[in-house]
Amino acid sequence: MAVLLEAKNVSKFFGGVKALTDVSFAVKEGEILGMIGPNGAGKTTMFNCMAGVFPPTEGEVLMFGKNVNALPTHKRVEMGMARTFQNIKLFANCSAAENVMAGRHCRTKNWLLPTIFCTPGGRKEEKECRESALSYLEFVGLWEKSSLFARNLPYGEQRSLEIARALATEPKVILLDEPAAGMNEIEKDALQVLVQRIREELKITVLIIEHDMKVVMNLCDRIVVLNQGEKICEGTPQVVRTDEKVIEAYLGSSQGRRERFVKH
Amino acid sequence: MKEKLKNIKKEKLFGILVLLFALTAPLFITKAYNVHLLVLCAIYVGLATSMNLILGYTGLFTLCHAAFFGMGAYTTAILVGKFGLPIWTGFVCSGFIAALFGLLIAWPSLRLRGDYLAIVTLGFGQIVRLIELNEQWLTNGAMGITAIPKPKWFGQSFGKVQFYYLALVIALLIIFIVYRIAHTRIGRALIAIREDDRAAMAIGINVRSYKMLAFGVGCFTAGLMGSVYAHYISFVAPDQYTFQISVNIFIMVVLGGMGTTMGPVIGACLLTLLPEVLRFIGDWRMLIYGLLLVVCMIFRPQGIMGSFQIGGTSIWTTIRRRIERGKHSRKGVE
Repeated sequence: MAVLLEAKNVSKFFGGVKALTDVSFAVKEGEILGMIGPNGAGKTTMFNCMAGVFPPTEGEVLMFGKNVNALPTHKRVEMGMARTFQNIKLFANCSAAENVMAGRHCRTKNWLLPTIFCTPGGRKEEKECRESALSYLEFVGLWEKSSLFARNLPYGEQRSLEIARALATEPKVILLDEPAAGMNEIEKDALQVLVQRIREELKITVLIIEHDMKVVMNLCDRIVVLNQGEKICEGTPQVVRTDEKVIEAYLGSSQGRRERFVKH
Repeated sequence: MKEKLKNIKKEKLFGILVLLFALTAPLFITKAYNVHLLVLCAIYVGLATSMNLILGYTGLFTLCHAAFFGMGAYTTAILVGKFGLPIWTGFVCSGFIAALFGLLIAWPSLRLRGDYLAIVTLGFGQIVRLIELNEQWLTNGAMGITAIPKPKWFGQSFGKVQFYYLALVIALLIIFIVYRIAHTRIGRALIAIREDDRAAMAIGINVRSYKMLAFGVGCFTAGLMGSVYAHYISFVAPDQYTFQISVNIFIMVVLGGMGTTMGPVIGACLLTLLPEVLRFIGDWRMLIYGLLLVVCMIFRPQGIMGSFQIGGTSIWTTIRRRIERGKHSRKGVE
């Protein structure tokens, strides 16, 4: 299996704060890789390094085997990486369809002249853009809501819309930052189905940060565990669940709580 | 969806009515001073619309639009007035010079956001005014450049009415360009930047270059309008393009409704005509003018036409609801 995205000895310091120290892991094609860790473990920092919000202080991020440390976010998106945000970032005053159409940006190429003079080519592309945006909305189950303003959608659907917008950039790997945060059980189940469909139907590799253990254990093929900026474990859900260091990071060293955790 | 469609249709209908009025206005408005006001309206409509691309659609708070307006006017004055180049050359050059300087200032300053950008552009506006005032060899200083030739039409110089139609055509051109840009791929990118620039980056939009694009097109069109203005009053001086004008253009866009097509048009006409309409109150004029602005911003913070893209409901719906609510409460009393 080819490695799509790789972190090699990545460290990130913010002044004196060591957000990440020497973290290495690889995202392989076709898998769902989970990233977990207690609050402040550096998960989102890792995401931001991979997505190009800031470069790592040390080490390198590789996409398709190429060092992308110096590439800005939009270039990485063109190469085939998409992401969603922990706190939903939608274009609130645009309709759902417009949000996804904006996501088609880097796969369309109308520039000033076709725009201003309404050339037939420009119009055709505009129509295709709208149609494919609707098909992505259909994929996440928001087809009927395409004309509603994003800010008027309920929370769970805003999450789906953000995923649809990310999918519209035709990524090879998608990074989901806590997609299940704030969802109820039903919405969480729907989200799991959606993530699985992203992998099965669209053949997109998924890297997911999630706090909800049930979701992570059900979905992921492998899990990377961060604690205080360091990778403490990597492996299948089975391995992670019984790992001493992971249990200690989450629960401290009380025996009783440990047993309950392992049973889960 | 229906609500939105209805709004769009109403906006189109309203636009057509305004256009019809604009085209026929000189037939029944004949007093020289009133025609002068019409020309000013057309010029400010163009300026406010070009500002709308920067402020309304891209969300960049700049306070130096009059500087680019002035740059266009000075370019025309120098090229056509001083060196006697053909008028159309001056016209095109005005746009390009304004765009060139616009991009030059945009390159370093568009890293900044919100109020910081406003301060930088405010400073830039002052620099431009001081250059116009002090570089005597180029701009003739405080004396300004006089006797800029007027365009000719069948051997006759343009009168006020012809100038009105010229300004109207340019204003319509600007509205058309901005409308087309705002409602297609580029506009979606600009609106995305306005709504959330980090999310815009995350879907592959090159935020920096699209901000530059909006700024460049905005400055280009402001420069074109500057050229028309210079020919119209056939005289340029530094005190015509001050910070006050920038603020006026800014208010026109905000008052009319940022990110709408008709908003800046209405805002520009209103702010140009209001001081004239209020002339009968004499000294109280500017006080009432200010008060009207305050009241307007309290009751319609999204602008008079604001509703189509930026939050809230349309003005028609608001009025209808107010009336209905009034009826209901009266029923309650009975």
